[in-house]
Amino acid sequence: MSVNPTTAPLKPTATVAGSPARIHPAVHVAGLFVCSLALSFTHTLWAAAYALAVSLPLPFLKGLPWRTVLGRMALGNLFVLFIWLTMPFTLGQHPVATLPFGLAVYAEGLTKSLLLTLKINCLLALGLAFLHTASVHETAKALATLGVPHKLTLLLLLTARHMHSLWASYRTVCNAAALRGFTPCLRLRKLPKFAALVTFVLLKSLERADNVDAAMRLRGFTGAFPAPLFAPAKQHVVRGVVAYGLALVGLLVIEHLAP
Amino acid sequence: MHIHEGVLHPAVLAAGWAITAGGLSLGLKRLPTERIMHAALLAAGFFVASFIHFSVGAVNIHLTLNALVGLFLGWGAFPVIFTGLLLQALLFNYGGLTVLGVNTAVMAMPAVLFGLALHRWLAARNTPATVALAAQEAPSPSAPSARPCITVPALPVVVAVVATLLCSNLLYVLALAASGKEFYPIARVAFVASLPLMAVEAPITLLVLRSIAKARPAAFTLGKQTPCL
Repeated sequence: MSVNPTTAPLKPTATVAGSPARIHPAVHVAGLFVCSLALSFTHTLWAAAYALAVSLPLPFLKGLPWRTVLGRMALGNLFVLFIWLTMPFTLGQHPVATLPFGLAVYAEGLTKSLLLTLKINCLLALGLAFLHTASVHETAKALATLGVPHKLTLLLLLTARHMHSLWASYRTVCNAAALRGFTPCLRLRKLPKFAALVTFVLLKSLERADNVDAAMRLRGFTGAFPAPLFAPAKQHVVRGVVAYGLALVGLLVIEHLAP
Repeated sequence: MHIHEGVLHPAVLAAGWAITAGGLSLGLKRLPTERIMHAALLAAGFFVASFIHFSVGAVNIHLTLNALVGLFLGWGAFPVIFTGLLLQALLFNYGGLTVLGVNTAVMAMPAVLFGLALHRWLAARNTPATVALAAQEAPSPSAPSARPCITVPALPVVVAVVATLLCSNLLYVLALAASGKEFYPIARVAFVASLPLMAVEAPITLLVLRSIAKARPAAFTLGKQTPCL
């Protein structure tokens, strides 16, 4: 399918995971920030459970494969596992059970662990739904719309742009090393080989920086792209503000009404 | 070394953002617009290099290269580390938006501090004439062996790397501990778990620096007051 280059960049609706976004990406970034902040003030299990119930279906509704969702959530829950292995046994004064070897499990520790589990999983789901599905380009535009300095968004875009080519170079060297029988593990005699890999990546990046910089200067690059204006359509902002606003009001109401 | 969203106290989050905002402001101010490309490529290089994993028993650890970032970029380490952490949040869902301030401060503050100290130390130990000669383009393939080489002694590099990682770990522990007493045990375990990284990263950083000193000494920018790419 061909895209008209003259109209495509001016299209006001950003695309997320192939479908037209109904909420502006800048609203997602700001909304996520506010939601995360609101959750850090949350102290009741009911409010955290509500937040998780609202956020958990979102990655699936955004069309992410369940394997990806479960994999990312499992990785994020390693810290949660850490919490469950320590907090119930160390926090509190009212034991509810005693495990073998005299390990007491405290009610306060269990409650706090559950609260953190709900909050962390809610934020993981929100991050997956709205950050992970958005391209770096969209996020950079969203940050620019929110007033983040131009240099920083440019740095983000250029880093993301060149990361993949450097990664490809690194994989090539890794494959060559693997063919020679090199397996990564912590042995003193293998450290120089690891150092050589790191040096290769850094030297490659310095070399590429010189080449790309020279090429960009030749094309008249002065530190800014003549990017088209990314004016958000009003309905995409209003829709996002209403959605995040309703979710936050629900959270506040439950936080105050919860026993 | 990422702190998750939903864990830290709002006051700690605010403190992290305040430090990061200051560091970013200074870092962006000292980063000329025409050198953004170099900073981005270096950021991409460090990002990729940090994906090199080691197997230590049953767990995998990866390099952070904070001290190297600080040495090569100085205050520019703040925007570069911020960008790397933001990309990790976007691409892999590590960390998050509100905790990005704390994570950046934890990683970038020691990197800038000890990176600049190491830069000054190397600049003092290598005379301007040596630096100028070493930075010259090699006129022929046989010239590199004849070129004077920038001296990279082992002790200061190892001390700088260990101090950078130790400070990052301490700040990580401090951020957790400041969020509540309930995090003390987790903070202690996290601190001990991150110690093997120092033993691996210090010799690797030294070897990398010595290789770069031979292959591309100009990258050190030792002839200048502070590193500016």
